[in-house]
Amino acid sequence: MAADTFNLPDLVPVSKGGRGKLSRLLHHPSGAVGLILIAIWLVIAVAGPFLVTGNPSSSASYQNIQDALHGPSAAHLLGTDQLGRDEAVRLIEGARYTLLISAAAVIAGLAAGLPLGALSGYLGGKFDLLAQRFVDIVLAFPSFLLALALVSFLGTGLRNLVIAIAAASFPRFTRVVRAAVMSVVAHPYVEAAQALGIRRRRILFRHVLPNAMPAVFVQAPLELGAAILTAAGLGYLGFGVPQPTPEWGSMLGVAQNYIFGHSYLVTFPGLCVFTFVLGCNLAGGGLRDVFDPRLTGTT
Amino acid sequence: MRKFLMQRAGLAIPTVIGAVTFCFILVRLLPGDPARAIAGPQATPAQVAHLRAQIGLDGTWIQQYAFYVTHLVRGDLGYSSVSGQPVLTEIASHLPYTAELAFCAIALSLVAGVLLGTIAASRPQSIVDTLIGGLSVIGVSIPVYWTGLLLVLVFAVDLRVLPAAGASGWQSLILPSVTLSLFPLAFIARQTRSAMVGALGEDYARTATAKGASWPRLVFRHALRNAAVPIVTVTGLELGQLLGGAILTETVFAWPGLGQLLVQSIAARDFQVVQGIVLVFALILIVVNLATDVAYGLLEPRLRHGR
Repeated sequence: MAADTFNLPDLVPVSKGGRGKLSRLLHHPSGAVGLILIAIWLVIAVAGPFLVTGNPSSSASYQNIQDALHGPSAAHLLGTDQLGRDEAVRLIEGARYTLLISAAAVIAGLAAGLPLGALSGYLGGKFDLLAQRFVDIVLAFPSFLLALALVSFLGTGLRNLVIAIAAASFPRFTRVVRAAVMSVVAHPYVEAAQALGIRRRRILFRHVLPNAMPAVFVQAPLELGAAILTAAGLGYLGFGVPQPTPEWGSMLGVAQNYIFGHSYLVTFPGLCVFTFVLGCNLAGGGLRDVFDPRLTGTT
Repeated sequence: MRKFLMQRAGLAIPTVIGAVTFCFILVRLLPGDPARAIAGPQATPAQVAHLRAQIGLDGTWIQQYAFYVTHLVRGDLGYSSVSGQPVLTEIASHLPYTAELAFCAIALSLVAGVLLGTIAASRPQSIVDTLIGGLSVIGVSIPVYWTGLLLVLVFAVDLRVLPAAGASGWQSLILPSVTLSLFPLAFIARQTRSAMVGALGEDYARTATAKGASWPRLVFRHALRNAAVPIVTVTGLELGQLLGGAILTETVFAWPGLGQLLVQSIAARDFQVVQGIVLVFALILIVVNLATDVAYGLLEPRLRHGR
């Protein structure tokens, strides 16, 4: 191929050495805190249920009505709920559901938003116009309302929950990718690649998309945080994963009935959601500073 | 100016059509037979067939769509299967509560957000700035339903100074408004800070200082006026987020607005009401976005004439 004789890869300013970015993120004060929070929750979600074993109440489904609604103690670090289930065990198990639902939703949202945004930004013209009108329509619905409406008509359950939350995040991914692609396309090296007669598809995949990816890296943790909030919000309203499953939002919804007298049941699930989302937002902010300091302060 | 208004309104029309279409499709997403789902499990086949004809679920998709749109234009959104009332009546009786709550929350977040953002911008990189920056990250990360429950815990359960739920008197509006305001407050504070840091670094700010303008005069008369455009934009954009948050906040505080009606209707499988509320929320948001766009044009003449 003719293009290879020009030794094109050297022309492409793909940022090399991800390690440099990671160490810069770790030296970014709030970004590092965010990464640590996310890491803690990842470890708890993956390994937690294997580590808490040893007695009957270490199972999330163990019930003992005689032990119901006991405050935090040595036997039950975070107390027990209205059915005598260990609150800490359930929260640890719940981290899995929260992580599973929100990560799947972000991946699905990205899978829809990345190609749509990339084509919209790269092709421009009529395709861009139509795609953006479509995104406008989706954005006309408050994102939580969109997720709630989809869940109420599609029905609850893991798969529909993921679809509903992804539907709320894909328009933002589309916008972000489109903007990034458009700014990359404006660079002279893209014109140079075109002048060399490289096929459009190759330009898009080899030269444009890799340089648009930082925008996705910045957006992804922010979207993960938003997905966690939406997932727990749906659970709180009672439209998340069905009952005995220990999901943070639905635990909070049930706990509201016991707010007079057993406030710890309200405190801990909310704290879990909050710290996880805080980690995502801090990491997202840190990544934004690392990848593109000019973006600081924008949303 | 008129041309600008017409142009902006014209851009909103396809969005309105799209939102209506989405609500039309929504009911048809119901698993199985939508008419059966709406009529409920106890309905006889004859009742289901009757309902199907009544709410326009028979015929081709085009006929169904024409049915939906013609009824919509006449203000007919169907009937609630729980109360038997027209959906529009149900919505009209709950909407004022949501409007009241949203208004208080947005007013609160604007005042506090602009104030905090301005304070942070006055001393960039200081401890106060860092503190306000930290608070604004917390504000966007804290789940709105948890904030609500914590406020109930402190002010209703422990201190017993404010009601935990319901809508009786102005006292019961305080906790929901504060709860709902935190998220937009944090966003507005962040946007105000970055806009104000920019404005205070401009030449005109230096000139004003050189001419002896006092600090408050510099901030409020010179800088804030120029920073208003991004602040208004962000406030408008946050309204969508606010409406979503209102659904949760109203549930926490049993506030009898549209959000609570929506949640109750979903739980009762009262799908025509759900469809109606979803459409009303979308239309409100489209109008607000349009108003934001227009306000943008009013505040920024360059944009109006530049096109």
